[in-house]
Amino acid sequence: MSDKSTIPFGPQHPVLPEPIHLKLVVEDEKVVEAYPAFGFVHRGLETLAQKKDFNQMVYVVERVCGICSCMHGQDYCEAIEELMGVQVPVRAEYLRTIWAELHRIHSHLLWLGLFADAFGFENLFMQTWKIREKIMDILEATSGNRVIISVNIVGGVRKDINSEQAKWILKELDDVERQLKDINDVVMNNYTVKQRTVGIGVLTKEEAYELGATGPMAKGSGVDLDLRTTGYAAYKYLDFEPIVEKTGDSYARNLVRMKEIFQSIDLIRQALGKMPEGEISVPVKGNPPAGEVISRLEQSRGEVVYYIKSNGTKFLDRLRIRTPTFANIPALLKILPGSYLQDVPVLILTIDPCISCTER
Amino acid sequence: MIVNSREVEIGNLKSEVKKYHDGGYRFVTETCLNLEDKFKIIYTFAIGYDLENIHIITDGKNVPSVSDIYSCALAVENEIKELFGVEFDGLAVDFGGNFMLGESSPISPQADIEIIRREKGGKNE
Repeated sequence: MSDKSTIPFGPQHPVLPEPIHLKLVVEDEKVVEAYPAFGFVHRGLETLAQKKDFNQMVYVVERVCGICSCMHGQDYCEAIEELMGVQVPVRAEYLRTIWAELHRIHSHLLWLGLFADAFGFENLFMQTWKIREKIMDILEATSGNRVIISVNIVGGVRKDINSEQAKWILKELDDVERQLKDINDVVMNNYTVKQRTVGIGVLTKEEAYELGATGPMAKGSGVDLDLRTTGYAAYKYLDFEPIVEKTGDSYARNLVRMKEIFQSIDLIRQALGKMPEGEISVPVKGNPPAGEVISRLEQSRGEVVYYIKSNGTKFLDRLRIRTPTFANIPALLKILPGSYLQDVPVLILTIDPCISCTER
Repeated sequence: MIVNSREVEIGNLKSEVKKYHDGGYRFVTETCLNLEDKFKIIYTFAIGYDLENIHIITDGKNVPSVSDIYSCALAVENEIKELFGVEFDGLAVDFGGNFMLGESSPISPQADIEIIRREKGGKNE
């Protein structure tokens, strides 16, 4: 009869540059229990809402996470705009959508590189990040920054995309799409990748729903939830269907993210083609009235929820951010027991954990 | 959406949450707010894309955990426990104050109370 041992995973681990600690109880090579610990880099950004005015908070929430910073800013601005009854111009809605989808692409590509790295596929890691550089170049050319692009303001956006830039973006996206098609076969049909992902870390549809999973974690298990279909920003003007896979294993979660990259490219093409001329922001005066609002949108990792309570002054009473990684922790704790120790790094990567978001 | 939350008595909390669970709602999150000398905890559920909220007003002691109904609530309830000092009864998994905070972290850093730091080698009560 084998004995149980407890193995510490992290907080610093080669597979994940961010600190997370898991206490893994193993029997032989099999994980039987997993207990997480966070908080190594907690920043208390929610509390800053009582010290920075509501306009300054746009820049604070962008720093919740570098990878989806643009969407944090967008969600926060949409919450304040709803509270203040501000309608942003249609062109601003399109621009927000374009930048959000660019962020989704670079987030998924970053994840794909880290995922490849997790099982020693260095070449794929390099290729993926090389492709991602094109997206970062687009972000830099259109906003002035590569990662935290700070384009969202309450009332719209502060940068525009002109027709010359639009043509160049379309050309770059063609390049990205072609290169992605080249590596798609390697990612999804490679023997090693399949060995490490097919049938591993299975989360059923019922479990995903019951555990509140979100994003590719839920969509990979057949849960058809994608907040973009609710039609916020410019999504109401675009044609798309949520990408859903049914097998619920690590492979399905990969597949969702790969397909979402192509979907995002298509959404940007549509948005650039349909974007009307016009203003990119409206002036916003005064402070948000007293009230409470919940705003949600679909980040690359899933649904992000902003709760805001204002008191009529320029400072908010409460800002609460429920990030997608936080929602996916219970699902991670569900898929780890029963897996082999060698699969733990890969399984953690398949939820695309963002510790920065969790430690907001 | 503008929050339209319905207040429920603490004694009825679990039966109300059970109704959402049995009605096919998924658990989205719990949000804790500081009031004068009390806490307000908002429970958010969703069915499809529609949200519904209920809330309780509590002094922060002996709040019934809903993690036996929605097991995923254990993460946010452990977080609220550590950041606000709210005590939950019947947490499915209690991380013992080591989920978001470390041994040398401030106690209840988001609550409107005096923050006490552990002295070197000492233990918090």
